[in-house]
Amino acid sequence: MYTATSSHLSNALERAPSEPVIIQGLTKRFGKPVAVDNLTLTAEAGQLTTLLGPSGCGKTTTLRMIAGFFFPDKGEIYIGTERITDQPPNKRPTRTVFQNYALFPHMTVRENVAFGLEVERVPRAQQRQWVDDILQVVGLDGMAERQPGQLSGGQQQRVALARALVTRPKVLLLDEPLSNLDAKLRVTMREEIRRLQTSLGITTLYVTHDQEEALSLSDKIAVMNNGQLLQFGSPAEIYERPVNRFVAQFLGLSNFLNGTVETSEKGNAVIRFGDYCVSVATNRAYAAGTAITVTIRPENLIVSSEGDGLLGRVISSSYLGAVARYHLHLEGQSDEVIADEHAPSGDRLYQPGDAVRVRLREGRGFVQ
Amino acid sequence: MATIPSELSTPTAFTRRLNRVKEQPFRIVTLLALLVILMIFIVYPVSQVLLRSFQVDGIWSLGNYERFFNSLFYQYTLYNTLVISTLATVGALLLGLIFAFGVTRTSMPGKNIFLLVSILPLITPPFFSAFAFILLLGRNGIFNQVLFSLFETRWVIYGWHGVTLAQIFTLFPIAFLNLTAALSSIDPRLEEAAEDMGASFLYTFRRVTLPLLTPALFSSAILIFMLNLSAFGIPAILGSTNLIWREGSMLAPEVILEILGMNSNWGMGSTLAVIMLVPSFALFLFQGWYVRRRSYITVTGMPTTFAPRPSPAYIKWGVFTICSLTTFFVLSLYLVIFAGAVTETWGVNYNLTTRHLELMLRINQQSIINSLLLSLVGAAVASLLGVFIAYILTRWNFLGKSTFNFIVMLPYALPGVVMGLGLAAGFNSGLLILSGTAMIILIDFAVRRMPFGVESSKSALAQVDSTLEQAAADLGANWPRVFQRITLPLLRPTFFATLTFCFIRSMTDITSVIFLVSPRWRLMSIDIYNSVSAGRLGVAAALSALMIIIIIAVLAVIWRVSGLGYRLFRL
Repeated sequence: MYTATSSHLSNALERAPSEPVIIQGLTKRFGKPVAVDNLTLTAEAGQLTTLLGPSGCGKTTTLRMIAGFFFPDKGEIYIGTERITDQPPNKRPTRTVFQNYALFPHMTVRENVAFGLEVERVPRAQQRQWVDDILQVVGLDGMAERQPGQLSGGQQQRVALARALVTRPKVLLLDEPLSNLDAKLRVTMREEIRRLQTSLGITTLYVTHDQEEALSLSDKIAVMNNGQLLQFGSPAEIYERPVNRFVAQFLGLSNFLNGTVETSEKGNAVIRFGDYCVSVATNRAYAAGTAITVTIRPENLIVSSEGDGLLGRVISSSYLGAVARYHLHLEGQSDEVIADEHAPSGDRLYQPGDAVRVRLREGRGFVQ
Repeated sequence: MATIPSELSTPTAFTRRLNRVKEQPFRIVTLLALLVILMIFIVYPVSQVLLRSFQVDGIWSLGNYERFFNSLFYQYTLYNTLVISTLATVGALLLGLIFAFGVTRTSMPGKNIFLLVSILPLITPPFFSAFAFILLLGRNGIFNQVLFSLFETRWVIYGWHGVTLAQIFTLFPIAFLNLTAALSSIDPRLEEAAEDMGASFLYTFRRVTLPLLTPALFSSAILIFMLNLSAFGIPAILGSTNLIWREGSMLAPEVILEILGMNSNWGMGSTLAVIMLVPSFALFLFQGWYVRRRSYITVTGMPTTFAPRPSPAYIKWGVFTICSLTTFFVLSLYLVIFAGAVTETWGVNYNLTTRHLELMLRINQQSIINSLLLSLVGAAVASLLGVFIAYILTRWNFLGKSTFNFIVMLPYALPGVVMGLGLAAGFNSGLLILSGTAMIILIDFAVRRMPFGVESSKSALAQVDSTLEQAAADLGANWPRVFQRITLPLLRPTFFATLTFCFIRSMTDITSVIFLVSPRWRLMSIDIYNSVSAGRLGVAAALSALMIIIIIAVLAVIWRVSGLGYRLFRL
């Protein structure tokens, strides 16, 4: 509720004390299938936490349970120390930006943004001021009297954001907010969302299926599949040390190379592929001679015509500008391998049929 | 060498143009033929009603109108009609809204039963509930017999309250189906967004749901009000006494009394029909204008699979209670009808008997066959004509298209009484004498249902990608072939839904065919009405029960043949 104590004329960019969102053992079924299965997760105060996964993985269901549109079958949700599991959505200190924005078509931009303030009985003059401020922050000054239908997709997105932020919620929830925008605008908007989020220091949960979006925006990423949390960590952790094949592949192209452990200690190991040895990162120590699979990204494979490395043959090559991408067959490996060459010279690509040597960048491969 | 391409292309362009010219006269002939039919069977009969309202004993005169405006009786009749129509409209809207809200926005149990029960009034004669009210709440109705034996008092249903209640129960399903469709197309995320920002359930409803629902509420209100205004059966059965202005009657029964009663005063009957026509027609024009005006309600129809958000318990169970009570009441109305069909003498002797059934099969056999056949043929004609005219209106461009459209939609705005009266007056002498034939009943059925067929086909056509038709034309099909092979198959679901609706409406209609039936061509619905008026409640109940069974049987057949199932009612 609005209290008369806040004397600021402008609250648009004022930092609010932020609280973490704590999820414990959250489970939700729709009939028989489990949408969310025993999910435990903490979105740290002031951070942006992304729920990432393919459609149907339970990420949106989780977000809707935090917003209060679904009640969980089991488990608890806390904001800070406050248990909100059974509160109706209108009593929760959360604000949602919906995938399709859900702007009220019968209200102007101003009325849309002011709706939450109106509900909290903020005085008219104050409402006006705050709405103008927040519209300026999201770059929509002068658009207040428009109808939502008269705005472009990006502008509608900003209105939705302004509407969510103007009431200074403790938690901001974003449900695939960029999926209805074109590719260029998506990049601009995600940078803008990130800037706003960090400057306001607001605890944010962000749902997406786009790994690039997740990597570029997040403090932490929770990768989900089939209702379960597969991995929770920083973007670098998730990308570089995926816990399984699914996470590795969901975050981008991945190669899986079979080798044997030569030597190993906690944290790293030397892996042998035929007569070629290379050091990789590990989570634990392995006995020498163990057969393992190394996960490595295409950009960490180096293709050359000679020297040491795995013996390979080029299947196809494509020039993508910043990189040249090779599909290769490597000796002793059943799966096709993808390698990217940085800053390639377009005239001097390896051609299909060429025999090459492929090395792994030291320490960049990862054994689960 | 350069001439080869042009030599190749010239014949093609030439044949195309030739084809175009070849098709043109065909289109013109089709249009003219349609126009002639519309003029003869819509414009001419309506003009007959207008003309006769300005005649007293065959002489041009304003006498009828003078009489109307100088007579307190007619004034009170008008007031009664307007006030009761308003009350019944508000009631039907409210009940329909509660049902629609409960089904689309709460997780209350029993939704399927409520949906099914609300369809019942749509498939039964509109005066049916009035008749059931008599059996339940009449002087000798079950309820009053119990009440009298306990407290020596009665709550008799005859009067304005009875008419209003019966109209509400008859018409609320229209509001229910319209509002359910509208609510389903409002993205529930809008309401979630409001609650997300702290708005309570009721506040969200008032500030978000209701404003978005306004157009649907409004168009339902207009339709229901028009049906109330022109209602005949219920006022005739329940409204003979105790109306709000006791000295007056109600309009539609009065029109029929003037013409079919002792006086056989066609002039005055026509005048009353015109008085009825004016508000109906005004609303029709107003609705057209309103629908064109509203622009922002292009609600994003993103289909969402989300279950309804949790609603406060008092809302969920409050809505559930109202729906359950209504359902219970509607079901008891039907139960009473079926019971009445096999009861010796209702209110006096409740012994079982097959006497009414035997009597019905002996006396009403021909009417039953007539009703079934004429309604089926009429519905088929109306649906086919509807699809065809909708196709012309959406895919062709021609001079006077909006006038054409207006004439086609005209029967929608006309109270049934006006159409029936016009057909009766227009074809009992002169070049084309159709009075007393099956043809005139068929024409009435076809013409009055046609606008519905046109409207539903139009909205279905709007969703058929016209590139499909262009592709067929590109492959060499001329328009009759495109229509037959592409358009018609794509409109199949709509066609069957229209057919069903038209059939049911024709079976249960009395207001306009009451002028058109003859001893040779009687109809079931009219027989029911006559039996009720004559106090032969047993036979009336037997006939009503049979009609319900026939309609359900035909529905089941169409249901199976079309493979549409419940979608039949989702127009």
